Amino acid sequence: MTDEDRAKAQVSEFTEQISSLRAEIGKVIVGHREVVDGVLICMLAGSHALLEGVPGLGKTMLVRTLAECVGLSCSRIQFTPDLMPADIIGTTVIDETAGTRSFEFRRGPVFANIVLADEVNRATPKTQSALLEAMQEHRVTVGRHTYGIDEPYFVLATQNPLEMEGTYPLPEAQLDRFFFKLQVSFPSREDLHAIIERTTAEHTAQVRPVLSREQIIAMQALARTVPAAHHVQDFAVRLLQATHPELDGATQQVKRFVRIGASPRGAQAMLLAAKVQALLKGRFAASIDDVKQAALPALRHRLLLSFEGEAEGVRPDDIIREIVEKLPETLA
Amino acid sequence: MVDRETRLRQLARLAWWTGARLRLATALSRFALLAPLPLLYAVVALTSIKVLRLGAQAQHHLMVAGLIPLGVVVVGVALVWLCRQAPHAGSLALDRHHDLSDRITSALAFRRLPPNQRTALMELAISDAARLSPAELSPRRAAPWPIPTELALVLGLAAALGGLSVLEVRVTRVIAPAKTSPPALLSLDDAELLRSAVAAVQADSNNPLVGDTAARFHRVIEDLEQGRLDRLEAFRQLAELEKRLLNGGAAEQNALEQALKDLANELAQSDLTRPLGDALGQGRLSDAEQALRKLAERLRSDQGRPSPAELDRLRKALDKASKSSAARAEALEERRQALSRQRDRLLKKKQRGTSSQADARELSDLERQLERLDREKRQAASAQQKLSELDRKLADAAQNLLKELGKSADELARASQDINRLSQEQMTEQQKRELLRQLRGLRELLRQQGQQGKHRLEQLKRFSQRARGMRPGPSASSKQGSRPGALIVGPGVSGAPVPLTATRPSSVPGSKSQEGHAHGANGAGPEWGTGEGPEVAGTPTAPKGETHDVTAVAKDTGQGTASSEVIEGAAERGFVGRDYQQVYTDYRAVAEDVIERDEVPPGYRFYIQRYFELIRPRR
Repeated sequence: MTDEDRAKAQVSEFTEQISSLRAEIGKVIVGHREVVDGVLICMLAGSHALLEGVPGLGKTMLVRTLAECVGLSCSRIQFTPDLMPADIIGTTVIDETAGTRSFEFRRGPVFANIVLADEVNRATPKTQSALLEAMQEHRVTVGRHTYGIDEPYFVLATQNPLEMEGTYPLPEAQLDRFFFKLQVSFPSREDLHAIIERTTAEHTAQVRPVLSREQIIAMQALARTVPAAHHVQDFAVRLLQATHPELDGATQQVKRFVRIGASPRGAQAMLLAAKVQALLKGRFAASIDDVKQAALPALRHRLLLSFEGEAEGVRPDDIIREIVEKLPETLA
Repeated sequence: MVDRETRLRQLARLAWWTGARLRLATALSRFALLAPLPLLYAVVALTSIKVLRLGAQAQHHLMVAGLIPLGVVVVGVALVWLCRQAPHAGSLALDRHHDLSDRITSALAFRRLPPNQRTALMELAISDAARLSPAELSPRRAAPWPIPTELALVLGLAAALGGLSVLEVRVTRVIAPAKTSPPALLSLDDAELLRSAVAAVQADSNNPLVGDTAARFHRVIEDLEQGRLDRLEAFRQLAELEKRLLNGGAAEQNALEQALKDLANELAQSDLTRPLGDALGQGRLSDAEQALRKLAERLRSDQGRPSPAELDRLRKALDKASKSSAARAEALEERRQALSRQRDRLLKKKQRGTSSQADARELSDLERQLERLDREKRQAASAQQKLSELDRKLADAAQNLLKELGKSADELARASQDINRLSQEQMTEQQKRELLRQLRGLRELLRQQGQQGKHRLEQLKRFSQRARGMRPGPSASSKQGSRPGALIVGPGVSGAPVPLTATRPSSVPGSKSQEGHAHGANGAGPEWGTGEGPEVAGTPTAPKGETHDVTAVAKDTGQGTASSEVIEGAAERGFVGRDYQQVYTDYRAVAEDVIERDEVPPGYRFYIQRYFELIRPRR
């Protein structure tokens, strides 16, 4: 078997696995196709996602269902203002067994493969930073010991856009660590009907694991091998540059309403997401369309609006859509 | 089955072609955007030209300025066409149109990498694109040429331009009459005179040149009479005719006459040829021909045969005569050589630097003399050539006189034919001279009449009518400075008037009109034209310009009506009648005799001749 045949088989297997995973998730989660795909992309990119939506939209359910479908450990952390860092990373306790006393580190909920950090903006910055450090480093340092977190490690944080009083919005530097920011919208009427039918019936749907940990790791590795031609990469770079008001490619809206543009992580996120997107569609190379599709979730949380933008009520999504629309696909 | 590389090449070609179409579409869009500019300019310019009636220079400026908007279009389109296009524009357009998610573009990009740098997935991407069928890919649909939104404006402006170009803006304007040169003026009377003079020459001439020139002269006279020629054209045609007549060369004619005179001098040495010599010397070639024929007859006849001594003198005369023109040419050559030697001597002196001012003057004189001698030599050679036959025949006649008189007579008879030919040529020259004279007269007439304009023509017209004994119509306003009814002949306003109306002769002492006798004590003279009256003032060649009685004080011969009466009657009844004809002829003869004898300055001859032409008898 040649490398091409092997690669082709891998891509084919990837597509099938994702399809079965989607189908399995779809048994429990109604609608939210973009959110589900976004979550999957984040997972396959080996990064984390920030979900924003009002309570009761199934964010927790999604994470739990995903964890069950991939056979990975899952934990949920409900962030509250009194949550301490030790509450999430763990603490050292004295263990008295067999007449001996020893300090034992009891791992916190952050040491799961999939972590749902609910309402992360309710906790104090100190607690938030403890989570974000784990997200970035994939390890936790307590005292003089560092404890690694098993791969794959995937954090889904949520934010409640309604309750802003008494919250601690994540700083921009911290928001930048999230691969995607996914907006969980209110379900449609048809979806609501389906939700109600499924959740109020005698029997709820059960999911089974369709992917193993190793398969996910393999899929993550395959995603990184997907090639992106220069013009695709160039488009992602120019898209990123267009978010900066001080640069030439910026639109009028950017120059007016954006204070600081997206960081290079945004371009990384767009390109990596484009590669995963290509695999999801059974293609062997990323395309500009894939980048365009990833632009919104990858950049919306990375733009810092100016005072005028905030006063005008301009949304980052509108700015990013305008950029994507006007940016030429190629440049001479 | 097409291999992967071939298919990729096909895809690359399709991508290139699509890119070219995109470039052209951009250029067309730019053209449509800029085209209204020159069209609008053209509309405005054409409107200005038509409405404001701009001249050729203004139109030229507008056209030159129109190059600016046109240049803008050309530059704009050129910039778009020449600017660098995105490298993947064509393939991306194909991907977009056929919804291929950059498969073609990515495959072509990966294909450019060396094989060892391609990953497995890149190869898969290339193979995936190679499976696409080029037949299903359409560059035309992927890169359509859009209909520009400005097309309506461009078409509208083009239609407006087309409509303006055929639109005619009528403007009423007064067209000033064209300035034309006034026609040269020639009165009917003068035209009649000229016509009869030229006809007389034409009738006597056998020479085609003379005949043709006379015919042309007739046409000029007719055109002048009809007012078809302006002054410039009239003078031009007269100059052309003069040139034709002068081509014969007056100088050669003079040389021929001189040669004939030399011939005549030699022939005059013999009694037998003296009549011939006299006729030749006076230029009467027809008489010379007759004399020669008579001599030939005399030699042939048995009666009145010349004596041997006479024959001997005849022989010598004929012999010398035959050599006269050659002798003249030799004399000229000798003289020329002598002068040449002198000139060469002076030139050498000049080269040495030893010549003086007197030498320089002498050298200059010698150059002029040599030039003249060369001219005379050429003319003499021409004359010698013309007389060569005559010379030869005279020589043969002289030789045969010793042997056989009959033969000599034959030679002399043949020589008379040569003289006849010369006579014809002489007559031709005379006719040419007469035509030239008429030409020059007409030219002077036109020049003078041109100075005085239409008023002069009116005067001539009335004068002509009265000259014929007719009453003229109402006269035009007279020119200031001249009396009504007076025709002035002469230079300027001081010329002599020719009265158009008769005036009763006042009782002038010496006037013959009342008594018919000459009164010698009162100014009458003994002969024709010798009387004088107190009113005649001035000198014979500069009479005073006031009108006065024309009174001829003449000798009463007792033979019919007195001249003064005839002249008086002519002033009343016109220049008609046999008596007037006779008086006119007499006076004309006197005038011509005076002119011949050079008693009149050359500048005034025309006026005298003109005077007599005006008072010539009419039918």
